[in-house]
Amino acid sequence: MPVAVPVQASVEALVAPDIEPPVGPSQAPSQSGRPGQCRILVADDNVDSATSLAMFLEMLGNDVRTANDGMEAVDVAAQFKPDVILLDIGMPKLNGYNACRSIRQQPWAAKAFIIALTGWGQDEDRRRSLEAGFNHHLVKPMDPAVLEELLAEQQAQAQAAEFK
Amino acid sequence: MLAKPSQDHMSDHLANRLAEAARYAVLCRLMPVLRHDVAGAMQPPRMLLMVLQKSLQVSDPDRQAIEKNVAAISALTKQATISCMSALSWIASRDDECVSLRSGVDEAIALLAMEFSVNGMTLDNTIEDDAKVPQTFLRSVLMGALLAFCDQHAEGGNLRVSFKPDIAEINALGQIQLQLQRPLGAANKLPELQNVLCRSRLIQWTDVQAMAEASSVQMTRGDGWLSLGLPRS
Repeated sequence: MPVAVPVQASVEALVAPDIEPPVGPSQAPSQSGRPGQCRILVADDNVDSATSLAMFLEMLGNDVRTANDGMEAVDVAAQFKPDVILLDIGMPKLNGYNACRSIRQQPWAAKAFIIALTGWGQDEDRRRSLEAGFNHHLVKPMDPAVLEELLAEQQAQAQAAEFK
Repeated sequence: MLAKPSQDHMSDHLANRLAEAARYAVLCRLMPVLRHDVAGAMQPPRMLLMVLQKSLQVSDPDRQAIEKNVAAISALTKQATISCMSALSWIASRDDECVSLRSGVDEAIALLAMEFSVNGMTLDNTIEDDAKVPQTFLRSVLMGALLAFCDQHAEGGNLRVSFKPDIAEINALGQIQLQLQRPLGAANKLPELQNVLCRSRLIQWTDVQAMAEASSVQMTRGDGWLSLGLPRS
């Protein structure tokens, strides 16, 4: 039996609740110019991981897109121009490091906040992530509260930079 | 006065220790992948629990939506549990457990997909035989052989895995054959991920040989090919 069998059907059955986005730092204007939301790209070859994380981020009031391999992540990023990108490292076609480098080369992505999201969490992995151009490195399974806090901090910083 | 251990006993003891060391090396190589799979399976239910928690905070929660989400969380949690138990079973594989050859090879290949990819290798599995084989063989000898191909063939290439049943032999089940075809070139390698996955030592052919002997598997090897003769269990 494979170690991880996708259970995509279960996630497809999920229903995102229609609630108001929370107030607070995440209400700050984003680089996309739309108040109250941030454009976020989630790239993970584990479809359940990508979908569930996207649902969580949408609940926080963000506009979210997903991709399931590195090449798709680069393509979606080029069109969507997200403020924040969450990239899994071990993706097929193009790994997260190279996807990050490729995205960083695009002019719009200079200020994008790119987070590595991976099961590998040793110091060497974190160093490699920073070298590839990631701003932050989160280890799976991550604490959603930590991600929420990180996004709020990032948005506060982006907002402060705009007012300077 | 204690009797001195016989030469044969010492030899068996050493052979078992070598097989044990080889199996440990294979496990160490698999750990990053097992950890990644388990962590990946644990994350979706946690995310959805947060979604559920927030959806319950509204003044008029949508009961139908909540019920659907609870069912999805239940399915994802079950899947995460299976992933954890499956990962644990790698550490304590049971000698008496037999699985179908096809599903066992599929499991090995699924686990090594990233390892093969970062080493510039592709894998072509032609096995459709459902013969029952010991799980320990698949998780030690076969896994070790696949890793050794990755580690010992820097040029990469396509590895073809096939099975030839031994119908005439009473004591032999058949032969699993691994044949390296058409080198793909170093350009296909992903050195960064190679470093992430390969933090323990490389798997040598002597490791595979030690594990094969401990499992009573006949191993023969040539340039770019390997054959594993399985005994009938």
